[in-house]
Amino acid sequence: MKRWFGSLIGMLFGERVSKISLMEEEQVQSPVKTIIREFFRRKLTIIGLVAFFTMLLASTIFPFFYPMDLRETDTAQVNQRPSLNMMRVPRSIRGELDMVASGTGFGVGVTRDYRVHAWGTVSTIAQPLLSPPQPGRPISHICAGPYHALVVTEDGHLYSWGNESPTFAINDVPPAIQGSVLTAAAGMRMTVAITDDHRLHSWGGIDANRRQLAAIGRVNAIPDIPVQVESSERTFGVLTECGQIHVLLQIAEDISYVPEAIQGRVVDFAMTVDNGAAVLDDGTVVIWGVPTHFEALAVPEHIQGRVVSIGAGRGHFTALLNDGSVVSWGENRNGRTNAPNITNAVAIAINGDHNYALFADGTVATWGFRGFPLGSDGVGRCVFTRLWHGGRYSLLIGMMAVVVQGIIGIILGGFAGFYGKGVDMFIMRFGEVVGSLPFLPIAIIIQFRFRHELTPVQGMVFLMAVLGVLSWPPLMRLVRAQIMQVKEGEYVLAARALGVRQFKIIFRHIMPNVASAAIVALTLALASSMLTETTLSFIGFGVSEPYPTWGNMISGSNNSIVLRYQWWRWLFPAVSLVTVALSINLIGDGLREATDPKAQGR
Amino acid sequence: MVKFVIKRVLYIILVLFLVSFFVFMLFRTMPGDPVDIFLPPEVAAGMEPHEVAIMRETIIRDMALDQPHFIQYLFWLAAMFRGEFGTSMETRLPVIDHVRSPITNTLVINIFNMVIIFAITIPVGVYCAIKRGKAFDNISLVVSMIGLSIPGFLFGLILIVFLVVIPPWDIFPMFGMASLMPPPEGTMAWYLDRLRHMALPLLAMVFMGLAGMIRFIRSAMIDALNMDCIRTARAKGLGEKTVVYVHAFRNALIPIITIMAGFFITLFSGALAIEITFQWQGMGVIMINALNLRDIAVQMTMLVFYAMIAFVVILILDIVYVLIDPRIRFD
Repeated sequence: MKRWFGSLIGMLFGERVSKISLMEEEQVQSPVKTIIREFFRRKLTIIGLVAFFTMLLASTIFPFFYPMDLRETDTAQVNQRPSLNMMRVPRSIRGELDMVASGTGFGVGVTRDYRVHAWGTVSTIAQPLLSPPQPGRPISHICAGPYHALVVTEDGHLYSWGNESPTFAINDVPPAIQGSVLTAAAGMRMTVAITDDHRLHSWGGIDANRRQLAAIGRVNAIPDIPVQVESSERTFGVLTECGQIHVLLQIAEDISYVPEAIQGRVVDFAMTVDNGAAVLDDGTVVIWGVPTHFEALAVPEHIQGRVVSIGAGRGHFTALLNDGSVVSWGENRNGRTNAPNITNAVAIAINGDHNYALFADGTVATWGFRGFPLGSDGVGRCVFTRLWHGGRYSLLIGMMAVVVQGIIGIILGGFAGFYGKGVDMFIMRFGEVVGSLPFLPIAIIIQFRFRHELTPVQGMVFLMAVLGVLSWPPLMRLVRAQIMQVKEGEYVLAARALGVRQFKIIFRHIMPNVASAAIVALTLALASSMLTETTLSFIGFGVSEPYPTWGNMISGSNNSIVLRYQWWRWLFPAVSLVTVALSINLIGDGLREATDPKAQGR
Repeated sequence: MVKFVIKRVLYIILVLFLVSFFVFMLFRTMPGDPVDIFLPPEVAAGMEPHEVAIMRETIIRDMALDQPHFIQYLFWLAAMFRGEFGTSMETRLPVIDHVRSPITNTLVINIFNMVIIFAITIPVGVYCAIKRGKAFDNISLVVSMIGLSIPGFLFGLILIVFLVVIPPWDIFPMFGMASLMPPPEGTMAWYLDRLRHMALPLLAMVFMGLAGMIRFIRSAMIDALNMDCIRTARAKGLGEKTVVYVHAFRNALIPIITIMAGFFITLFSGALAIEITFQWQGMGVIMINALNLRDIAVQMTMLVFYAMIAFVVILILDIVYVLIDPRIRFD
């Protein structure tokens, strides 16, 4: 067993399989050929090479396919576990759905026999969302918000379930209204319900939310009957029987100014964070709100006059047309406006970046955001996207740092080795000083000193320079030693005797002989500068947020909750980092074995 | 030899000047009013305007802020030679008292670290060199390769996950230096408590140190074993033990001592990230705090300490070389 294991590892490390007998003549090969042959003989080196180029390629290609929005955060999707099932309706109820509503990250549906189902991915604290209550009675209305979901039964009872955080108390339905609820809407942290005495009621939320909803009193004072309430991530809107829309914001914002011309003609409406859309009695759509969201404002011309109902997500609208087809428009993120080519849809449900279209036969079509393949981080950003963008930055910084280090080290080492005497003495002393500086503290101080004066991108370039400038002395010494050895060689003497210029001697005759040692050293330096960058970013003195690198992605994970329960936040960057560093080290090791004749054990 | 030492010491002092001047200028040229560091605006806001003016003037005069940077540096230098390192902004203690306990903490953990590392790496490295290409050698190569590829803080996090967070027991604390209610100082229980808190950061540091050291000692030993004198020793008929431990090891000693010295120099600064991960109140934590408070006095003292250690170790190294290898001379 031990022998078998030993020979396995020996094989991985390229132990000689066949030994040439003493009498046999070894074939003569050019040095480069020998190096290449030696290099590819070790299995581990090849594994390292494949792993490194896979990661490099992935970090180069993926960022193009998954662009990253640096400003993006999503409080409703914080710390979501890896999944792609946010819109996956359970197989057992496909074809039986009567009503469907979309929350953020989850969906709820009611079957024809009044069973309530929930599916999708929710954070730990909102786990009760996935086990909905079963009223067992005819259900008239269903809706869902980012954190909770509601069903209203035909006899006026309202069931609310979801995030059980006592701070928000979203699920504390006032007992007084039970039995008289007509409809309701689930907002970010609050619920607004309409009762049969034509009044609005709200509950849940923190103080700031409640203050905002003081506007409810204003609407209650109007002698008009509220018939529909809709939520957005920020507020609620109410549609009255006379076709008027009231936005429940205490302090007016862009979205509060519903165009006067449409008031009184509205049949359905929906609100994104910043914009509102109303369907008028002639089937046209009118948008209002923040005027700079051009994509959301641009209603496709061909749907005007045919719209039956409308729904809104975070930044897009979806309309159901009179022939049962659906159209989405708005800023296209996560494919949320890629509406499928369907007909005969009877209802739509939209929230966040999710879209559902319900058919008469009880099946649904979905488009939009399916989930985070590698989970989301503490502010709701996609770990998968950040992983590859971060990899690109980490690799780029590491490589550029090595380039800087290589240029300084080779030039100074070359001068020191070739000229000797005073130049050598000066450069060596200089190298000694730089080399004896405490690396991390000095790097931290320099980063701290200049970080605030640089933009994030300049900061990254600066970091490359800092890493390179602080780490060249070992390379310089190596090059110097090599050159000192080589320059005594006969061929250099011959070149000199022939009158070849010094510059040419250095770069044509000496450097190629030093190259192999320098390449090995630089390869290994790539791994260590990547690790240093990661360490600096982890401490908070490297690349700063919102730009991702593998280091600062791990940096928020230094507490037991994240380490244990939100493992996806640190595990993926950590594994990528170790994979890349390990593969670079394997390549460097293979190169050294291949180029160093002493290491081959002859 | 005395001449050599004096020359080196003078050189060290010169370099310390340069390094400290460089860092001093880094801090002094920072944007923002340096008076704000000593008299934060939020404090000044609560004071009478004329009081603020007097305070500002006192600070400017005391810190010589109206002088050119170079003169300010000379003032700092003069105070340094008088043994006045300034006052810490964080604790308002003299810097020496402020940094005493973190430096001790760092020293304690690093002495343990160093002893353990050498106790492990030297025998293992030598053994790997002798049994080159065998299973043990290959396994230790793989392990050290992995060790080289994991940054220290990440290994610390992995240790936390597998030894603290997941297992049901409560042996190791996640971070910190002592329990919330530590046993009385000096008792057996107190030392045990300390050790318990030290275990994980120490483990992380040891593993991080092991990786590079084993490989280095192994290759130094292999080079030594390939020397002609070893062949001669074997030809003379000396026992294998004598050959390896007396002849080869003596020859491998120079690179080993060099790497030991290098290791010692990076010991204090290299473990910074691990100290921060485990919130070990060492020099790393103090240094970051000082940076965020723009506490120049503490910062400069720490840096001079770091640089001094580095240069003193290099000096000792130069002397040790001569002592162990008669071929090297002072020059």
